Amino acid sequence: MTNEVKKTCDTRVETLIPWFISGQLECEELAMVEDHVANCRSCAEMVKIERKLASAIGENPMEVHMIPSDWASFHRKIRESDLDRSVRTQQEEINNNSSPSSNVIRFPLINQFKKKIAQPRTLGAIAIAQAAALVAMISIPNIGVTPVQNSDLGVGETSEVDQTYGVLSSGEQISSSEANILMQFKPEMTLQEFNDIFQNQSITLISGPTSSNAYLVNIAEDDKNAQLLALRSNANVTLAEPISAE
Amino acid sequence: MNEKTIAANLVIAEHSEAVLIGRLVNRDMKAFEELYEEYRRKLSHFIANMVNKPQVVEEVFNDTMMVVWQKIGDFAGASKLSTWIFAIAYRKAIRARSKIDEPMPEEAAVTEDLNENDTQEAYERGRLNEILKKAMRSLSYEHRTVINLTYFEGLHYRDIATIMECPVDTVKTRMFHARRQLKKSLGGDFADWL
Repeated sequence: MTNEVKKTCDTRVETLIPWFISGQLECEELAMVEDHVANCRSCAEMVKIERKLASAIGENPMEVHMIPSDWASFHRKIRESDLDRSVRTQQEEINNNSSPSSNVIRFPLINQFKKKIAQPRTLGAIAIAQAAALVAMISIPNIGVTPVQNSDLGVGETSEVDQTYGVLSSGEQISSSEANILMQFKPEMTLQEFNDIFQNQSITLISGPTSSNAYLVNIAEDDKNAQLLALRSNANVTLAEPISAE
Repeated sequence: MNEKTIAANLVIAEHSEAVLIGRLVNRDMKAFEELYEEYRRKLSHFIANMVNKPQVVEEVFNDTMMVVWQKIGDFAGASKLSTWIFAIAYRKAIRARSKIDEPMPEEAAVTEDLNENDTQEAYERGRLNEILKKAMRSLSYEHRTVINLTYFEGLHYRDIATIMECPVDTVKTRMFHARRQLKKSLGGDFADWL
């Protein structure tokens, strides 16, 4: 055996033997090992031993815990995961669109509203607020078209709010955890500007937009006056009025 | 089997895999359930050789299949689907291992599970198999992984390198040392394998 062949026995061929035995070698490597093993007694012997070892390992796997099949449970998890990803994707799209140059579009605001109502602090008010909003929407078929008459309100003058949102000024009692402020915004207001308003912890978006693009908002009672003042001084806010008469 | 048949079988296999991937990308739940069951069996063995807690094995499996579901759209086909799935499972198992302090348990006494009523031949075979299992446990998880992927899963060293995220030469070196360690651990019993 020449030095060159001996070196091959020590390295290239020996390292390839496992894959030669498992039938994974291709073309050039396969030919090389086959040729060498046919002409080298020690490597041929090594192949024989390794085949037995490989066979024993393949036939006798270490004891393993077979993962129980629970497709139903896993199926549920991937459904939930898909839903989460869908919501996150939608939110990312909203955030990506909230640049100063972007136009105000009602649908993203609805999606933002959906995000807001998912926050824990609004959940407690949601069932009632949504019902209230639904009642308001159903009861305001022609907002801005038919002003409420003085006689309906029993006041000397008809306020701007009363004119437009007569039903909301009907004196119906709404609890402090639900919408207590009605707001409207300039059409050119951006999503980012809209978001900035509701970053304020005291202000919670309850519902909206209504058919007249108004939003029902809750402001914490202990901070209401100050917040109303701040909202009215915001250039993008065209209306910020308490809903119930005080 | 001649070369043409091998080539034809390869084309069929690749086409089948492409069809499966297409179904998965299109959110075919039936296809994914079949994949789930197929890999539940395959990965049970693979993961268990790295992680010794049954609950963690299940968690790693579920995490792996979740990634497959979420990322199948990103699978570019640079490797076989099986290689890709095994690679995900390997990474998940390594992360799980880093959170577990307990080493793999020592093998129980060699003759514990052997039935003395078996024939002498069967008894000897069982004894040697137990010795082999003990020898396998003496390997590091990296050596054990290379041995299993080669002899149990029948993978090429290139696929193993992809799964273990290491160079091809590292796979060959690990296999070289793993075989040497096994023969050393089998000791005098190794002659019985001949």
